[in-house]
Amino acid sequence: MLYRFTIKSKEIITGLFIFLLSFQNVNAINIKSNEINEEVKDIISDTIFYNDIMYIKSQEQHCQTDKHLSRHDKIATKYVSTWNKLIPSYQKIQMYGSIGLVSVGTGWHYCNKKLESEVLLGFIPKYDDTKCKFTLTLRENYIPFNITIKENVLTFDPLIASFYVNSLLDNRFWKREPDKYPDNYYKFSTRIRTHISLGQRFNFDLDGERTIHKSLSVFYEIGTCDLYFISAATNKYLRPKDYLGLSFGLKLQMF
Amino acid sequence: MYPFFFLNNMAYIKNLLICITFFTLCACDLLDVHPYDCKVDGRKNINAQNILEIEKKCLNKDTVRYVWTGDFQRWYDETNDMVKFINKLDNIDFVMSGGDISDFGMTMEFELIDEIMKKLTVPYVSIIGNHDIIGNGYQTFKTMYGEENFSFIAGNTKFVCLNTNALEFDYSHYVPDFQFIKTELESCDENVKRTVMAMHTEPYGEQFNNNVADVFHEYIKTFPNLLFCMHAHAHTRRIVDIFDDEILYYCCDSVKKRTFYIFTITPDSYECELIEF
Repeated sequence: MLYRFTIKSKEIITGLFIFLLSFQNVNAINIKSNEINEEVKDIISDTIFYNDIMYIKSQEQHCQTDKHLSRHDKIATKYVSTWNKLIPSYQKIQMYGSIGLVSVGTGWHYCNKKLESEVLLGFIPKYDDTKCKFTLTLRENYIPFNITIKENVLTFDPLIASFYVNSLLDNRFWKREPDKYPDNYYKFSTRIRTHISLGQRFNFDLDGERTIHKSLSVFYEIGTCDLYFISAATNKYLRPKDYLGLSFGLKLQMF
Repeated sequence: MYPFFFLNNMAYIKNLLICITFFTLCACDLLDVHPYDCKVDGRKNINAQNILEIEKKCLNKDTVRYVWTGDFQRWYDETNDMVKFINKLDNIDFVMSGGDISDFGMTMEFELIDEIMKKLTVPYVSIIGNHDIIGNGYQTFKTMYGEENFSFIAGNTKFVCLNTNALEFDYSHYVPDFQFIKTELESCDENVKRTVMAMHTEPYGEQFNNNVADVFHEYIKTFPNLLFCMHAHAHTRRIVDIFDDEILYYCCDSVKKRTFYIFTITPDSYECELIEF
């Protein structure tokens, strides 16, 4: 009974939310090719079809089809394209890293792919505890450089600097200490952990015809969390293996 | 195979293999699931194992000499120095820790302290402190050290170690556990000549269930020849006769202050020395 699941409704909702975020973009591209004329086929990669109406993401192509659309369709096009920006651009799976044994999640990139925001749901097996635990992580990555090793094959990100906040979804852990304690008794939160990490990443381009993803990235990173850092800073006894954590994983880029 | 051009060179492959092996060896230690993962890789059930050792070592001895310390919370350097210091001392039978092994209740803290404390040449036992309960520290403590209430007999002296951190639990978890105390009282036979109580928080401390502080004290006085009580938690050494009945409560300094007590229990009396390291 190592993985005895005692999932609460909050965890189910969080899990479903992340699952839907991860896969809704796959369902959104529902192409009905027989209804499209030749001219439009060129811009198919940036086009999204919804209720037989064609919505185009980029502004330039948007103008080309303006004259065919009614007022409602124009507003609807803009409405959908605004919401489309919220579609996550990649999925991610990570092992270890002080946020769970396995974490899955999804994310968005912006600022010329220099910044990434992601949300991850982590799983901690039972081990010697009474039950298994889930964690939720909000994470921000900064990727200042990108080196092209071979065009359309392999690129390399020599530095990924990350900041992330992790919350344990378990009611034994509190965000702020309960009222029963005298004021400032423990002075920290057992539930919320903040982490920093540095890592590197190799991005392999995939051929878009056979795979649903545009590229596959392999990454590793080394990081620490606030309480580990405090312990290391106030003691000479701790070695790097006590306060540093390694994590590695895969990132699947959709757009 | 452009990205892997370096594989054509044997020297590169050799270096690469060395790097990968080195990296994998380092990485095994670096893999951390979560600060509160409760994944205990080190020793388990330490108290039970060490109690066997203590009872065997002190069997038929009329004098026991032991160290009383506590509150290691995040002072690893000082704890390490203390262990080295105690190892140089003679005639120490065992070491007792008054709790607060960890500061944040993280699994790593428990394992680090045991890693330091197992260098002791004498066995040690630890009581549960309030910092060892927060988060899932209680589970980690139970896995690594065993039951929260325990007792053992060294020489002719019975040591009763209790969880008194009532503030950390609700009413459904009995702290202090009078049922346990009752069982211990009933199990005392003629071999038990003296009793010493050890706890993390003293009566009338903010962690103690002060509704029963008087009752608790009256009840523990029914143990055969109760000599004194020992506690930690306050981080400052003090010797107080809390109930004005000549049963003293000895509180040790935290490890940070680089002192500890050595108690010597002889057939007629006992002695308490303050040791600085």
